[in-house]
Formats: sequence, structure tokens, C-alpha cells
Amino acid sequence: MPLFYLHRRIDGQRFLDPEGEEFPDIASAIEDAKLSVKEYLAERLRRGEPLNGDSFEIWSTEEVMVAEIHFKDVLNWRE
Amino acid sequence: MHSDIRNLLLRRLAPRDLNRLLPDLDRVKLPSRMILEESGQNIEFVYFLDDGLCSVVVGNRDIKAEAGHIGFEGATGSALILGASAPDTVSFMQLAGSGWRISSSDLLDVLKTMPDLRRILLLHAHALTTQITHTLLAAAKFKIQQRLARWLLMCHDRTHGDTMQLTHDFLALMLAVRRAGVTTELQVLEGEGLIKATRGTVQILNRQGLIKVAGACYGAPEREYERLFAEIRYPG
Repeated sequence: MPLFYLHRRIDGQRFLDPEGEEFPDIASAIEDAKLSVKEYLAERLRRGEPLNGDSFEIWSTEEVMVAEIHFKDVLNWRE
Repeated sequence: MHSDIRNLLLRRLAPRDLNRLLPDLDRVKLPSRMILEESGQNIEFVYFLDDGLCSVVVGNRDIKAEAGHIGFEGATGSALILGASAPDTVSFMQLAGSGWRISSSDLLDVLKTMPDLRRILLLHAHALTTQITHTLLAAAKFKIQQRLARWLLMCHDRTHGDTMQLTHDFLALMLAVRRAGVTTELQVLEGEGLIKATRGTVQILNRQGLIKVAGACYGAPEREYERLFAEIRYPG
């Protein structure tokens, strides 16, 4: 299975994922990244920290960014 | 032979008891991922670790989490000592090591005439239960960062040296969180100078700093272990 890296971008700075994770395809990697974002945001809420404009970038082993998940897009916000 | 033994439970035995036990003990290597106990299966051997780290995991293939750790301070086989033949958990070597093993039948035989060994193993079973209950508390009430700091400290307690062979994926499994969350929290701890995390390894740089991060999440089971064994001194 292909390996994808989930780098985190905070305030313009990128934090690298040193390990990566195997997924059957890009769609699966994106789905997992969205679940990771939800867990991450839930943890920030528990800590009383603000939710912000961070994102996860999904990179392939060929060093190509195949997707970007903006945290605010994962929130299912209803007015 | 006695000086070869680093397991703290065995080292607490009086020489006469250890000498009686030694013929039934086999020295064994314990490679990473070796299964020491299987859920629902009769315990065949009890292992006293000299080094390495054994994880006790509850659940099934789809839903699981780590319940406890056993290192050179302890032994497997708690279910057997408490009167059951099989555990409800899986115990496997997370970090490779070595130790001593005795067959369950031989152990049950010697326990009939070694009250000190029985007492030591029962106290350890209680210590392990205490550890597991605090793992439950940690999961319910503490933040991932604190739980990660706790886990790293407990692993550090049970290994020799400051560098541990750990992957983020494994830590995620042990903490029952997503791997990306572990990566994030490791990066935070690294940014604070408490650890150095490279691919496949975590090095503890500042243990006191990690203890501060863990806060009330770490320490109670460790104090209980010390309290339980305070009266059982190492033979002179």
C-alpha cells in the first residue's frame, strides 16, 4: 500500500510527519486525515485552546502534496 | 547465576527460595511482538522480565487499547496467580528483551511450598491492577499530551537507558488515539526540549519536565508499587 505523510501547517510553518502511514489510496488517506482533524480539534476544545486556521497536508512519497485539509472545513458548523 | 537476574520480583526472594526455583526457570529471549499470553487461552508459561517491555492489551482486533505495562519490575501470569487459568487480555513484547520463564504447572507446584513467592506475586498482581485502574482514569480525565507523557515515563521506568524503540503508530495504538494526534503531541514535547523523536525512536531528554507535563496523571501506581514492596527487602 502507498505511504502518505500527514504534515501539519500552523501559522504558515510546517511540522513534518516523520513516519507516514499506509493507505489503499488517496481517498482513504483524506478520510483518515479528516478524522484526525476532528480528534485534534476536540483535544484543543478540551484544553480550552482556540480553534484556528491550521491544516494538514497530505504528501506522497514522491514529495507531491496530494491534498490539503483545512481544519475549519472539517467542522460541520450549523447556524 | 543469581547476579544474572535483574527481575526485581525474583531478586526479592531469599537465596534458599531462589535456589529452589532456579531449576524450573529457563532463560529466554523475548523478541518484539512475541505473544506471552493470549486472551481466553490457558497460560502456558509465566515470564519474569529482566529487560524489555510487555504490553497488556484489552479488546479485539478492531477495538483495543493498552491496559498496562510489565517490565523488569514484574511478571506475567497475574490471572494464574489469582486462580484463573486464562486472561482476558493479550500480553506481548512491545520492546524486545529477555527474562526467565517457568511453566504454569511448575509455578503452581512451587507456590504450594513457597509462601514468600506467593506473596510477592500476589502483591504484584495488585500493583498491576492499580496501574490498570489509573490507565482507565487517565483515558477518562486527562488530555492526550498528559497521557502520552505518562506513557513515556512508564516505559522509561521499565527500560534501561533513555532511548526507546517506539513508532508513532504503536503509541497511537497504546493510547487509543489516532496516529496523527500522537505525532502532533510528540512534536510539542520535542519543541519543549523534553524528548527527541526520530523515526522509530523516542529519547527522553528531560524526565522531570515530562513528569511536570503528566501532572497527576503519573505517579500513583508507582508509589503504590513502592509501598507494597517496602517491607520485602532485597536479601543481603
